[in-house]
Amino acid sequence: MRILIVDDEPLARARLRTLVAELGMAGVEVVGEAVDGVDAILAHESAPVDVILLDIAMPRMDGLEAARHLAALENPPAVVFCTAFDEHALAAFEAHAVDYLVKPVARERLRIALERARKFTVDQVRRIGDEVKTQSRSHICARIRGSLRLVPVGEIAYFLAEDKYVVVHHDAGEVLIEESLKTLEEEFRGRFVRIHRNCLVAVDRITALERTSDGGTHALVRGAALPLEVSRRCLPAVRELIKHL
Amino acid sequence: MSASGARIASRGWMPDFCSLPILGSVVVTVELIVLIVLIAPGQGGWPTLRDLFAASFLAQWIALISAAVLCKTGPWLGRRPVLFGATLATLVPAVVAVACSAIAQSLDRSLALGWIPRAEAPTFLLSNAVLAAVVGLILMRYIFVLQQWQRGVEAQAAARIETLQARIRPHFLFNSLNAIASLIRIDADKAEAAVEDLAGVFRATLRDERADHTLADELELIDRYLAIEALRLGERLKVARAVEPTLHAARIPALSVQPLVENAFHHGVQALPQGGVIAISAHRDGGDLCVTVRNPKPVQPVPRLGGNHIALGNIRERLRMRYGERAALSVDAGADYHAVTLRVPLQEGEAR
Repeated sequence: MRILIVDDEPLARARLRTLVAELGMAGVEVVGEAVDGVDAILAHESAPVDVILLDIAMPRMDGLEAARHLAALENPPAVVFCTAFDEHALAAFEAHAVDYLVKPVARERLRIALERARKFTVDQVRRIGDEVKTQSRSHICARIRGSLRLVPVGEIAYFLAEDKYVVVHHDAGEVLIEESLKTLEEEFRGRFVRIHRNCLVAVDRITALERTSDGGTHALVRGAALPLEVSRRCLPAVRELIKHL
Repeated sequence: MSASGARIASRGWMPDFCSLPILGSVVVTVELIVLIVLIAPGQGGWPTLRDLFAASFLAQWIALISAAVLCKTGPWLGRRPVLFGATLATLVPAVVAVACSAIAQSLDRSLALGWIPRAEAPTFLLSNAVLAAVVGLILMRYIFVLQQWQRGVEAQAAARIETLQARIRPHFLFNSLNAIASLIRIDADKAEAAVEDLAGVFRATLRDERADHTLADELELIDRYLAIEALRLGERLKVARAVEPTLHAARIPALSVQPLVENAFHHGVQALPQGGVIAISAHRDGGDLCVTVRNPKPVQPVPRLGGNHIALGNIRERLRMRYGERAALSVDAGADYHAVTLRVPLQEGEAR
């Protein structure tokens, strides 16, 4: 069983590493460490592990969101949360048999968690991922030619629906994701606004609204190469939002 | 408090007549009232067992039907204005009493029991109605006051737990203990120092606030606190300090700056993958001491890092109590930095 330790504190990682070594469980080894959620996902992507010991409060991307992204991967690892004091965030998991450890982690408690994790099936892991009710994500997870990309939401200019995909236009290019514009709109309400049936734009990137010669309206969006069409139906709501900026 | 609290909230001021304890107190109270009415002088002597049985039967009948009606209509009544709702709620037992008494009277008459003296017949309905209304009103008032008191006790306990948690800061405590547990194997001396620092921080937290406290004391406390956080974060945490030496003896309230540093750590340095510098500076401005804590912060705020948001409000409140309008806490926040300045008046002879 291959283990990845994820915590932003070096001493916390060192402690888990020592404890796992001391347990001396057959076939169990720590194969890597990561310092935040993004780092953890990328580490798992490049060298898949069976179990991730995942801290919750971390910069960049917290453990809850990382668990959600991980569960959606093809080969999701079993996640055991480690937390100092976060009862509320973890209340949801207790009912679903995901284990979590409280810091300072006790050695024997870690053994129980690892033994439990050994029995996790992929289906269980996925179900748990669905249960993770995070706030809106900090990153969007996408695949480009097989390799994983995590795009920070702050770098996204707009989402454009095309056929059954949504194209994420961000500062460093564009990626395809298989999510619906509707769920994205709900998740990022307030941060992104619907300007057209097929388009969701970052509110703080809209610089101006322009009338076109044929009577329509375009939005100028920072980071978008071309002006984006604002549909008549969405126009009042967009206007209202811009006014408040 | 959650379930019962929600139920109370949905009924407003109206007692919950569906609950068993309240039904119980209704039954007992009504029985006591029956006794009082029967024993009261002018009733023609000591009541017989039959009188007691008949009166209790009728009274409980009225009481339970009224309670059932109030149980069902409670949520609706509770949302009305108090005067209107209470009037309607008081009318319920009165109306029920009239109905039940009329039925009892006709039963008594048709079965020729003679339990209800015929002479009283016209006043029988009216007096029962008034009695039921008065008893109903007293009961509702009593239960309402009792619930208010219970809610007060619950709120007080919750507030006390919150204060205690804010002081102990479980996140900080357990993370520190975790770091120390790890350090014991790696560097026992450092672990020992960390235990001392942790003890220092908690002693300061739990100490009487009115004790004499200087800027130097507060800075030492901050040093201890930051030593622990530095242990946890390693190189991500950097501290810059610029304090005029003459100000060290200035008196300031205990724990007026440390929480600012803690916020700077939580919402700033800890939330940044690359870390950052917490800058603490103190200077004199006229007759005031100004202490500023400044930190970089992520452009996109990280919502869940277990910080203590009550810190600022708490410090403001304490400053107001001690200095009135002469002290202030001001915030200067940009997209990528956050700075809070504490201003307190210097006392006579301090660093002039």
